[in-house]
Amino acid sequence: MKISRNAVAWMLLAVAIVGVASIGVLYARANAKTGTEYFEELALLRRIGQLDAQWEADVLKARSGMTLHFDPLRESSDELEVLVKALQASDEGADHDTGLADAQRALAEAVREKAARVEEFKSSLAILRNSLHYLPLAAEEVHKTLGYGLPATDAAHRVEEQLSSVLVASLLNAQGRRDGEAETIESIEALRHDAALLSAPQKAQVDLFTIHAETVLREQRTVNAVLDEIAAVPTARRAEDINALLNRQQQQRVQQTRHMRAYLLVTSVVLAMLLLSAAWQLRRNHRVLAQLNSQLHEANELLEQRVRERTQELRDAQNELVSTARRAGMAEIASNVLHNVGNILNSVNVSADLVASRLRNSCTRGLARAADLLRANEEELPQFFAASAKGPKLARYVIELSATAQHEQAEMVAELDALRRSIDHIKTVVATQQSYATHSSSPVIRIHPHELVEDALRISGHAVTSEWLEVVRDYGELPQVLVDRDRVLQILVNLLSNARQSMKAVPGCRHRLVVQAQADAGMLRVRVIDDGEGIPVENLTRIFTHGFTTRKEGHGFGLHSCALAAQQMGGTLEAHSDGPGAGATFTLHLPLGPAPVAEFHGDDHPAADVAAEPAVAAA
Amino acid sequence: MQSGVTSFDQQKQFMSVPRAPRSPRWPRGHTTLRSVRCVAAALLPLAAAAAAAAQPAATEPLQPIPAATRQDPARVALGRRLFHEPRLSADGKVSCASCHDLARGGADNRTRSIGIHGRLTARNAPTVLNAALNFRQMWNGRAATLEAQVELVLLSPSEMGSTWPNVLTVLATDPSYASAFAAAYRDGLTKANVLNAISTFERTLVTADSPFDRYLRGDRAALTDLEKLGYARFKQYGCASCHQGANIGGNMFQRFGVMVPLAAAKTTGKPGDLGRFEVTGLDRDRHVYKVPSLRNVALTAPYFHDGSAATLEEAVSVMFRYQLGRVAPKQDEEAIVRFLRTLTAPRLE
Repeated sequence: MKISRNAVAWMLLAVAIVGVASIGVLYARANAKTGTEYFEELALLRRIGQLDAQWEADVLKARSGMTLHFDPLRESSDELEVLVKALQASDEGADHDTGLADAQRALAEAVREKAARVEEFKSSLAILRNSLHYLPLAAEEVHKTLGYGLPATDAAHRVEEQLSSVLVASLLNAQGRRDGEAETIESIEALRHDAALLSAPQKAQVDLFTIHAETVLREQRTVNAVLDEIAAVPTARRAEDINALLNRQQQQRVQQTRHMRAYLLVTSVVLAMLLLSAAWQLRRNHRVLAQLNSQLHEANELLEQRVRERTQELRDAQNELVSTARRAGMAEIASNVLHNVGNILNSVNVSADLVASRLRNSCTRGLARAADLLRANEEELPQFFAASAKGPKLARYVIELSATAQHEQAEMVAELDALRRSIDHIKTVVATQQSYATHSSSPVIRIHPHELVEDALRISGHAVTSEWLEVVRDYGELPQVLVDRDRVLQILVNLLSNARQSMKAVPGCRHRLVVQAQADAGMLRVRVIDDGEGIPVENLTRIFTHGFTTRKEGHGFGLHSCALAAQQMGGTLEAHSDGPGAGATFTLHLPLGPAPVAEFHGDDHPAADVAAEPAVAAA
Repeated sequence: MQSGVTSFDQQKQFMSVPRAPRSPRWPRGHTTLRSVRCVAAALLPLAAAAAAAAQPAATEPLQPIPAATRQDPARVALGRRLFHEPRLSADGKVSCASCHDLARGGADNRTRSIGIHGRLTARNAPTVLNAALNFRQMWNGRAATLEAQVELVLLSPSEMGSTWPNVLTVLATDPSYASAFAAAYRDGLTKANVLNAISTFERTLVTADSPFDRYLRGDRAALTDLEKLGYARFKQYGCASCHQGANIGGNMFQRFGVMVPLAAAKTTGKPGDLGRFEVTGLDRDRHVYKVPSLRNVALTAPYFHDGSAATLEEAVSVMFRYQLGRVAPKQDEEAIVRFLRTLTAPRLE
């Protein structure tokens, strides 16, 4: 039969509890009445015994006349009563041994009995003493009355004799003779009888004597009887009974204590063994635990190692990501620059082409032909001019040529101016992009918004309406604004470029490009509205993301960086489209005043608060 | 001429002679009064000398008063207040001091005292002075302690007629009593403490320094010659058999009417005033009373349990007749009365 470990454990626990409980019980019972109480009670009993003896001695002293007053008797009685009460009180708390209680009550009863007897004794003794004391005197007086025996009547003589015998008998009785009572009574009777024959006053005297003699007799009897009763009162025996009972109790207690000690020994041995087994078990458990602990430690170490490796890997990956991001950022910047520069280069190209074509188609060829004609007719110039029809035409032709040449020159100058400005713009674009890398702030200048917009239009090549595109300008009441010119230009150029691309993607009809610029509620609002291919709904949220492009050769950097730039300046860039084929509207909002520069949310550019600077004149 | 009175000492010598042998010195029937007279005459000078000489106090039947034990002053003061507090009685007019007036020797000079509603008490009021030295209280000894006596009086319908709830309420509603009890006793105002307070006060009413006490302590000049003679007579006639001890009485019971039974004429009190018989029911205890103390007796007229003796002289002659069965010559009675007056202590504060 296999006992489960749990069951064993419960059994042991039960044994332990029983052991402890039994110890408690034994201890409590063994301590019920301590030994000191026993000795105190013995001392009390001894004192009671002594007092009792002293009391009886005092009685005898009073009887014998050694003490003439009863105060000692009273003191003994009082003290004895107190002690008996104390004895009864000392047993109150303990287990009620009825035998003991009865014995104590019997003792108290005996003491009370004795006290009553002693009272009787006192009363009788006083009377006895008085009468006894008076007896000789009474006898003397009788004698006096009878004339000292001189007139010796027979009766008187007899009376005198009887008197003396009674007196002597009484005195002897007083000294303790016990068996003269009958005689004394006879004598008294005889005396009475004899006195009857005397005269009245003499008789009175004799009667007085007789009364006292009888009193002596009576009280003597009483006193002796009471003394015997006092001696018979079993106070001493009762005290001894109590003593015996207490002794027996004490022996029982000693016996019990011995038993308890044995039980205690057994119980403690059992408990000790339990304790030892528990300790051994504990040691075993401890060993197991230590083993498990070390295993845990090893596993922990292994885990730590792995964690370290992973962390290292992660860190490497992170570094790679960071550098990739940096490169991407740089790439973004670079592509941004390229994009913006590319935009501007378009207009540069256009301007250069224009200048080139102008120059190529310049009217200098006409001038050369005219010069040839003149050279051919060099010797006969005046006849040429006078005679031939070509002559005056030539003059007119040269005059027109000069005008045209001037006009050409003006155009080309203007075009070269534009070219120069575009190149400047490229420079600033590059500089701006560089400022992103180095994060130095670009200049903020006060400018009229429509100048900005015009510049943007020109750069992007939409300054004038052409045969396929109608450009509509809608400028409201615009104050001067404090903006970063280059950035705004970038954005606008980007937007216009995108609009151009989207309209170009829908060929075959005349397109309309609307550029709005308005100031309202402290913000500058520039809108570029085209009627190109539009933006499908699902792309609306994605067009601002980095790397999104719908163009085949697009690199997707434009709108994202425009949005970032707008944010940096404290404004927003919005896009709206009703869907494919419905065109698109891009809105740039910029604050009119000094722009609170928002944090730049680039990946690897540290965020920094760049405060708005006061207007700086453009270089 | 010689009065033929032998001293008590001589009597003692008689009684301490060892048991007489079978053939007595005075053979029966042959004794003559003459031989007795010779013996008496022989011993008389001795006796006289002894009477005149100073007695060591310890062997005297009358003892000087012991010093009063020290009592707790707070409780004594409280007890004094309660002793004079009439609100403890049912009609609010009777206090302990009404019947035990400290200015009148601790009693009230009335045959019987007046309790609540003008009712007469059953017996003459004994003095409260030195009552602490009595072995019992009350004429028939039914109160074993001073406390028991106070309780019996408080509840007795003819004396203070109160109840414990009444008494405790009266005391509890008086803030000065409540605080006094709280100060004097740990458990405050309880029945036991009320009794204890009054008894503690009574224990201080022990009167010392009477002329007789001074005489007992050795001051020979404290008594005049007549008073000394009175003391000698007091002892010789046997008054000192019952009126003995430190309190000159008060430590035993005795029948009133030892030699001459108390005739109906003597019991002027109500029927049933039979003394200790009312406590024990024993026939032999009829007319047995506690022997009263004679200290300050000159102040506490009238005398006896029924107040039937108006003067000391009357009391002494009654005692002679009923207790001693003798008629004493006038000068002896006078001397004894003179002696009794020396038992009066100076006034208490």
